[in-house]
Amino acid sequence: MRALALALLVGCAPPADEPLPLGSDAASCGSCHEDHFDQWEGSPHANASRSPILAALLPEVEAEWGALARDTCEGCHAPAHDPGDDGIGCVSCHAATGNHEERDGALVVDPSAGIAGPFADAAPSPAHRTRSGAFLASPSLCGTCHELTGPNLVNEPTLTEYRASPAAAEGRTCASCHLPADGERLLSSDASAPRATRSHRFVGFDPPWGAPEDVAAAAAERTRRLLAEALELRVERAEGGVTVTVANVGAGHSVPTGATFLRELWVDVELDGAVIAERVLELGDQPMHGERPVALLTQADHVTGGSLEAGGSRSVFVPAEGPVEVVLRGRAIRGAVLDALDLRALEPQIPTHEVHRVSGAPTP
Amino acid sequence: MGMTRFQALLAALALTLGLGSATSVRADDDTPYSQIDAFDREWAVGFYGTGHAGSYFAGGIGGRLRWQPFGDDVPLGLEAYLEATIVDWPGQGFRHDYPNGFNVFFPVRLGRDVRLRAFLGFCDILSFVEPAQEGAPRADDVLFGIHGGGGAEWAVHSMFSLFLDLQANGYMGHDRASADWTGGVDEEFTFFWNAQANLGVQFHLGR
Repeated sequence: MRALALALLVGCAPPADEPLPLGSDAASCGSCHEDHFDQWEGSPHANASRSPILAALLPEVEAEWGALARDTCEGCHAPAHDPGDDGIGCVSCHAATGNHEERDGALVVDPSAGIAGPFADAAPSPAHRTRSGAFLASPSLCGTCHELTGPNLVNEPTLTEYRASPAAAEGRTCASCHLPADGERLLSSDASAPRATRSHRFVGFDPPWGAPEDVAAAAAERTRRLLAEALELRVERAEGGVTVTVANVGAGHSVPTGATFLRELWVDVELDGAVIAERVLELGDQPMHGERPVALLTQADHVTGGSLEAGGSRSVFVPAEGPVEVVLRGRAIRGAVLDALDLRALEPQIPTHEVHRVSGAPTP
Repeated sequence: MGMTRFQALLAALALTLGLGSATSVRADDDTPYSQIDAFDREWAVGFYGTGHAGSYFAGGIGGRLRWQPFGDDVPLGLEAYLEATIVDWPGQGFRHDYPNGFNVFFPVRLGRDVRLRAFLGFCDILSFVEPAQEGAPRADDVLFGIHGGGGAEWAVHSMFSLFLDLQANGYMGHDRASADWTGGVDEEFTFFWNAQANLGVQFHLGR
């Protein structure tokens, strides 16, 4: 079927302002761009609207904050840039021409403008018009959804964090870490020469919900590596114990970022495999109602805690009598959130990543 | 017994109308066309340079068409104008505005060659921002407003005059953003104002 469609299309590149002849949903794109489609299919972007956490949170949001707040969430998680996509599809980025604001999902997507690639010399395609898209490679594109100023207590300033980070000063972009270089390959089934490409797995904190075990394990390892490159764990000898330091040395934003009220990273101290000091240092936001911690942001009136800013570090002294192992761990969804949403059954899908393990001992 | 404020206003209006009638003589049909005073002619076309300062700064050129339908019987005229301006724009991209509108004006002759006038009217601005990046969303807007001011005209020929106008403009529009790939217009209305000066030449036509 694809061969027939392409045979009909070869030699007649679509003129401007015509819809994409094979459709603009991800499955249609994947009929030629198989590798990218396969990578994307298990990504947080493909799953943006399929997350069971989101599905459980949306009714809470609507009940507490109103229907408009729910719409705001869905504006990024289920933008419907193509009716055939239920998440964030290919056209969400490759047909984006800009944004009305660099926040809150105010993306402008126009498939009739042509499909953007990151190459200055956009190769013509018989299947759709092509164009060079500097916006595609710009943090402004990612930041359109990864910079949220609501609803209510939701505050996810990832783009702002990035712009203030050493990574931005060095010229690294979102793609440097989240769409890493993936070698050279044919970009589509009708391409004549290989080109440099990037992984479309959009590696981040969220697990690939409902994915087969091997896919989930591979995704978990990518997440662990990403966190390990972002965070450094140092253990220094001290009088009567050790000083534990976590530093954000690699991320171009705070860690965690985004939905920090769901995330948790923490440091445990172990002796002979048993935890002797739990959560001596924690990263992530804690929703609070008055003086009381609550599980969900919808139950909160403010947030405490906080993420570790790019280039920043936090230290804590831990009393210890002998050699210990210090472990930095992270998990995409807090246990308390799962309990509050009655989703404990999802726990096997939410790995606890052992990001770093470092040995240390007090000063003799 | 002193005048009330309303009586004073009526007196000023009568004086204004009277001054206009007393100092200008409507050309009759026998007056050669070339000898008709500039300010006695029914039509005028003006061209001018304009500068705006206030909520934003702009400069450009303008043109206007004037009609005094009642001669000197009623010192009142109508004008329609269109300007093209380049705006000092804090965002990226290039903003160019096209203010246009109409005035009702009330002339007061101070002799054969000099005339003062007051005017007020409605106006709008067709405002365009060319994005910094090709294909990026636009941040165009239409602003609506009112204006009023005063001016002086000096006839240097039976068909030409020079003029200077000073006016204040108030507009309702929207805050906008234009930077790299961002082009957006706020949903909420915002008030903008500026003071404007026009300096130009007018061609007077008709009888």
